[in-house]
Amino acid sequence: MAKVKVEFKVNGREYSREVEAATRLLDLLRNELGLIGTKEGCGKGECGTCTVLMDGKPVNSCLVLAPQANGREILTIEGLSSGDRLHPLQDAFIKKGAVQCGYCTPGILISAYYLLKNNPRPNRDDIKEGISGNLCRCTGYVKIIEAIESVTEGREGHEE
Amino acid sequence: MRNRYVGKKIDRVDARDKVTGKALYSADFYLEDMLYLKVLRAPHPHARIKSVDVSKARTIPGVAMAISAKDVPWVKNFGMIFKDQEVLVREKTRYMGDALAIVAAETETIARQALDYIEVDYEPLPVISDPLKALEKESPYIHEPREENCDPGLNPGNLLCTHRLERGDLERGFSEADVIVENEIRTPHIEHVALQPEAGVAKYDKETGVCTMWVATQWLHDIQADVAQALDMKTEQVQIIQPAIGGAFGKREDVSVHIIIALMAILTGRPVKMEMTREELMITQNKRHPIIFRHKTGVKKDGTITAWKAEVIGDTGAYASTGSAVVHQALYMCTGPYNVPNLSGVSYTAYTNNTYAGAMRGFGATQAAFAYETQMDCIAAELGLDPLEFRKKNAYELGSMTPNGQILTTSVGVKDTLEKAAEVFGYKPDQLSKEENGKIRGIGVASSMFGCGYGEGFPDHSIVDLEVTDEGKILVHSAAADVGQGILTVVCQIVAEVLDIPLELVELAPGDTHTSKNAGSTSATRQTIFSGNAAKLAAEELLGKIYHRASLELVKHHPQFLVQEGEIVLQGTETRISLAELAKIAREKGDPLHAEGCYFPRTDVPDEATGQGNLVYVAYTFNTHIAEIEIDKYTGETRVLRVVAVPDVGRVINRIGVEGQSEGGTVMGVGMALMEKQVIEEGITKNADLSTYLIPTSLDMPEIITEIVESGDAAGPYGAKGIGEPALLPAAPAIINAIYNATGVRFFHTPVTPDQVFKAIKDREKKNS
Repeated sequence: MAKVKVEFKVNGREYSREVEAATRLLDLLRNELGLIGTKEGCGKGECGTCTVLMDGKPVNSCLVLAPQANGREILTIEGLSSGDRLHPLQDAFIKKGAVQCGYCTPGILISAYYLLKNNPRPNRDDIKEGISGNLCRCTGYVKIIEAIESVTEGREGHEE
Repeated sequence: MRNRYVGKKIDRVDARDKVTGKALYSADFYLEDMLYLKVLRAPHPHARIKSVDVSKARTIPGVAMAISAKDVPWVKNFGMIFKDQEVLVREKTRYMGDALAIVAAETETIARQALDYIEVDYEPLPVISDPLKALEKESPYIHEPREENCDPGLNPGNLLCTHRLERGDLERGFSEADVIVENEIRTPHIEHVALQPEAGVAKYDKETGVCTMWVATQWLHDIQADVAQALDMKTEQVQIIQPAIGGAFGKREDVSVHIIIALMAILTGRPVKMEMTREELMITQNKRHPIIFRHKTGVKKDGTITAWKAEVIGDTGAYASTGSAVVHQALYMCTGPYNVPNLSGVSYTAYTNNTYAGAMRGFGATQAAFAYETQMDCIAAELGLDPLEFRKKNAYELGSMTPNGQILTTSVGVKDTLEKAAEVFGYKPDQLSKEENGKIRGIGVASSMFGCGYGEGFPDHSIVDLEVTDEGKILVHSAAADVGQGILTVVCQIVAEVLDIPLELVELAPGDTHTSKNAGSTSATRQTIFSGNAAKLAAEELLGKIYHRASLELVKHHPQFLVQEGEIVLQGTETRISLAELAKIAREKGDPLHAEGCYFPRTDVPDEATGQGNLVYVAYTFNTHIAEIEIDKYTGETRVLRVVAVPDVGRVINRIGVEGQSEGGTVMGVGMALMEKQVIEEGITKNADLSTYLIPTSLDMPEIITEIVESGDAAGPYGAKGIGEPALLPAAPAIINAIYNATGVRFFHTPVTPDQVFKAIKDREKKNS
């Protein structure tokens, strides 16, 4: 299969890779760049586990071909914290018990990050809507919602 | 005594790795020079296989190896209880998940494409997908007949096993009854939908003969033993290192990729990786058993239960897996947490050509709870009694007897859970449904029981091993699988509690068959009790050794010391010695600070003819839910507005963990009540993905209020018992009882979908007009 050059930015860092045209963004991130924090749950855009931001918008990276990411900027879970300093959302997920098996966690954190970027004061319904594309089978969503709520503007722990 | 960690809200020990994306799950392991595996599955659910030809696939560039059963005649069958499942099918397929061939290739794409070049010649056989039909004597055999084991009149090739419960005098019980209520209640195939698909990586070392695997399992040492026997290896030649596990719910109790990756790593001599697709695992891997319950209950006008007859028929699909245990548990829990003096029950576990069924959260007790709580609600309605009061009247107390004949002597909080739930919910007896603007509200109650641990005489145990490292930290070796529920945090909490040290000083070694001993399965809601007790025993032994060594080194009587914050302090002096120093001295003197704890309680094998025993389970967890729902009259859609969940967990170890289990279990119950059914028609799954098999999203969840009852005297550490499975049990029946309360229509199955509710409301309106 023909190889295609993909030049893009992931978590602020420039990458250039030759990939087969049918390679998924998810596979490029995981297999080529070693960014294994992004998980695959269904491969069909149904579960939201592989959510990343592309040019600031959430996408299921299993439904994006790697060449489509050419010239774009991607944010994955690895880019949410800076060094040892966790993003307030990550802190809140730990403190509120929003993590159980953790497999949906990277995708949900990315969705939550996007939500708060665009709506710093979401109400409970906004939060539910904002993560409704991400399935979680462990938590019943209660503590995930509480965690996101705890870092909305005007709440304790907010840093931005 | 005040606890430092036990009972508190404790951050999970693995949370930081999980929120940063650093936690490594099976598919996150990449080994050099790795081959990728794909499996060709059955072309037909029940077919005689004439030939499997892999020769063309072998010629595809990039294919390293392609094999079928005839290439590996030495490979043995596998299975948790019965070895009835073939790694590669030899003569016939029994369901769509049967493996016919395995391809190993340089890339996953090549492996997948190569499957198209494998030629299979087969002759279809009649497909049996109804367990009742499977049990008929005339039906074709799915497995070799076993006459010795079969009730006369039933099918010896399709009946896996029969179990019985007998107590008291059923005839007399029914003759004392004023009312007899009979119902048939059914549950469907349900999929676990753990978010992480089955995956694994393996490598084989020719020098040592050891095959090392990174693959999720709920029970390291049991899978190790099954892989070893299937591949004719010594147990220690199979090493499993436990990665992070992306949910399980029973799914990962069974073998999935394990034997295949080990086999191919050995045959190819190269590391291999296999990842199942969502569709593949939904068709191939275990399901929740569909079960038919036929309940007949006798009751007096005042609500006293006098007799109960139960018939339980479970569909275990193509292979046994844990089916024999699941279906008999459905029987053993068939009357719930209620006093029943006269009882007779029988259960049949049937093979069919459906996807095989095994463990799923609740292990038969979930299906049983839906059935007995439907039955209890029907009886209350028949007698005109309030459903909650009727349950309270019959609920267990100290001295009550379980269906297995076990007299409960500790931790019986069921009445407390009913009362607490009513109080928190603001429940008023005889509450009627309310209708407003086309929305009808209803309230439903359900309670439940669950026997923790394998019980029934099974040699169930857990071993935890502790050592003091040179840094003065406590290193924990435990094979207990943390599937997301948080057992490893519980183990660390208990160690820190006993040793009175900061939690940060407790470190975990990864679960590894070669460095940790059997912890038993993460199932049966047993790890807090079993590994929790083992951790406590190990920590207590370690504490004793620390005192002993310190008294030798400091030449003082041991009561003069305090062990705290990682130091041994001579009271009233400045003299202190760090754990690190003490560990070093102890090691040099040939008596290292090392301790092992094992919890191994005795239980009784129930009598075969009657199912009765004295001590069948080490503890029972009770849980009551009250649910409020709202139905849209014009669409039939049911929304769950609010659930009050009140589990009796004996004693809370990690509060945030117990709440998390309760909330997750409740939402899983919303799915069970209203959405979830794997549709298998004639052995073929019709909805093998997550847009046709729906589970609840954040928009489907109700408000959940969890109040915990702590009866405090159960068999686990500090009086704890388990919560994982019981968290789910009352959720679905409470919701479906609320639908009855709202509409007056009784549903005897799950899931109850909008079209069914809409039609039921219309039919009822027609009948009433």
